[in-house]
Amino acid sequence: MKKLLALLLALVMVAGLVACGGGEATPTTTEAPVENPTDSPAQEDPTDAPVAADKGTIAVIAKGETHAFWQAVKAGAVDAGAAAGYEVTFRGPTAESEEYVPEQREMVQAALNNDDVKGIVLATIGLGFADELTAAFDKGLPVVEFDSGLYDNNADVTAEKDPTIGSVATDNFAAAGVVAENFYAYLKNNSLAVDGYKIGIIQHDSTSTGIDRAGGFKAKIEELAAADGITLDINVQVKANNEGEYKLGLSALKDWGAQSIFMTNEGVVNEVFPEISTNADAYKDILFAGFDAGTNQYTWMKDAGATYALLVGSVAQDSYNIGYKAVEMAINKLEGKEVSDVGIAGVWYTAENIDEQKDRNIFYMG
Amino acid sequence: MSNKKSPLLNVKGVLAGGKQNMVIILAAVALFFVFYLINPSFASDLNLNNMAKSFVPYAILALGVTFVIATGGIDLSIGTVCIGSAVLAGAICRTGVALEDGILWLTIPIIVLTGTVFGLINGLLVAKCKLAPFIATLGTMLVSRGLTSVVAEAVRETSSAVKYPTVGWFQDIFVKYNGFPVGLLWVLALTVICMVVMYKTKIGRYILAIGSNEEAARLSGIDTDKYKIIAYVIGGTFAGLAALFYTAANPSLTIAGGNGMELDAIAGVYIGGTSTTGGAASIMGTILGSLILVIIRNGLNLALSGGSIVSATNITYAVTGVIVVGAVMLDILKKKNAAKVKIPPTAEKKAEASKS
Repeated sequence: MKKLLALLLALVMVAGLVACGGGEATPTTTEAPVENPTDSPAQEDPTDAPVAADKGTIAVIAKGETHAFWQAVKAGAVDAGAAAGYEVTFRGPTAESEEYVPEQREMVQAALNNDDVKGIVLATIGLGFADELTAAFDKGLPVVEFDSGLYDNNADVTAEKDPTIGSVATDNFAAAGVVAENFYAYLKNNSLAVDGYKIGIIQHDSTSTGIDRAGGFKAKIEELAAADGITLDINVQVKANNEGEYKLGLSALKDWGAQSIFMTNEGVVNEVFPEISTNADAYKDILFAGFDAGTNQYTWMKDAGATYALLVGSVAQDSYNIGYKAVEMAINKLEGKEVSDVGIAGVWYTAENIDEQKDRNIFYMG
Repeated sequence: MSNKKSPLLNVKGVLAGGKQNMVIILAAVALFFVFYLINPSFASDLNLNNMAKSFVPYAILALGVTFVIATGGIDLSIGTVCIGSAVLAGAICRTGVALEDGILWLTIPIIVLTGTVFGLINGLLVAKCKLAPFIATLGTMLVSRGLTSVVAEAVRETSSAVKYPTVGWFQDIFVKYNGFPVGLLWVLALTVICMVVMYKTKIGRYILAIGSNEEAARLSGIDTDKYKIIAYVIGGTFAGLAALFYTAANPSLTIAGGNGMELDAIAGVYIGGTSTTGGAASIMGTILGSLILVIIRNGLNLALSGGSIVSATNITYAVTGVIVVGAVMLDILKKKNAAKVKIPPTAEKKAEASKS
């Protein structure tokens, strides 16, 4: 009897916890849209007042939930839902590792088994979603891939039952183009844009990300210079993510006589920064431009050329818009509009607006 | 179990577990019904298949570790051995997403054998080197995680995830065939085998005897070292077997993964009524304990699918913890009561008299 009593007690506890969780659900949905910044020009701002969320739910399942990047994605996703009268749920596994696939799969399952869910926005962290994607297809739920999309080039998608309708991700080529535009403007303003000006690029790897970032920067800045009748001298150092390689790229470019250097990711910045700060005098005259975010970039940029070389500016991934556009794509599909893949360029930031971008979670430390 | 006169005749104790099983079955049915009422999709075809997918590997891990726990030991390495063996086999056989990549069939013997070898190491450390099971298997846990990763990195020259095919015969055999969750049949078969081994063979009886009172077992002529090693070998082999089902359902594996899987499996064993100090084991209870954990995890997940600021995953941790503690407390209460009944009132008086 005692056993039965204890187990009943456990049951009651479970029921209680379920009730607690359910009860707290309401404030989330009403609160969330309010806390998001809507005043920045970079954001797709829902100008019309949010409609009551009664058209259904868009379930966003990301590769994480707590990191600043995902918080900004979430803010964008919730805003896009509110603008069109949809509720948005946002979940992500504990960590971005294949180990958490069962956990993420449960999140997808929860979305599939919730009749309010009309569309899914998904980025998977591993394989094992074949059944879920087929089920989404059978239920007629559109799936938008976002960020890096479905793991391993959509290996989980069954050919005849593909629920994916498109993808929303950072367009690395365009984002690097944003760096080129702003950087070239800086050169021009300081009368540095002259024939034979030497620009080095440290490309972080030879995957498509590395190729697109280096290529996007080179193509755009050459195009802008050509319009002014100027020919630049550009040297690309293609490296791999091994300890010390980026540092070698830096010294190679210095030997070559680079007058400015573009670093294609946070990893490059993290190796270059200690070098230029310890040997401040040696690198003082070189101008730098970066990509992504991180503490090193913050410290470097805030210095504004006072103690070591100047970091003119960097481009960060526009996480808010990735979330916004992805949810918007799902809604557009549901409302019968045409949808096509969206590539999002980054947000350019400098010493002046880095704090503002930090508040928006576009720029993050760490 | 010191109250038992003959540890060798433990069958009665096993049958007594039937009552606890009934309680668990009732609780499982009640939970199933509650979750069904909260969200009818809980009983949908899709969800039942998903539950089977997560239940099967954990149930198999739990079946194996039941033998270890029955000796009064513990095996903390089963989680990392499970993932490590699949990582190792995948790296050696160079498996990939497409079916034609690598030699997939060869991974099966490698996975199971790797599990067996680590089980054997655990057994030798505990039985021959007299290490405390907690320490020995903690060591193996770290070694299995590290060693398999090192080999995988060396062979593939990358530390990215090891991949297996996402669809094909591997899934047909271990996860789902034509929509039917075949994994459940495997669990059924393995359960029957475990029941036979545990209750009908010398191995099982000796393992239970060791758990009851190792010294008494040794004095009555049982080669306790040998049977302890066998228990750990069973635990390791089942960790390997579980890896087959886990990998078929989750075909991308982080190297150096599997942390925490062992605790879920062990929790299932305790909930099922296997004694924490050994000597009494319930195979059926282990299966039901694992089942109830899956029902709770999956049910909470769906119950909270409408959106909530508290994560269903974290609530599940808390609930599982409460249930494990509750189940072990039941075990202690049961023993206490059993001990009380056994002492005749006169004996009690005598004892009091001798004290004063």
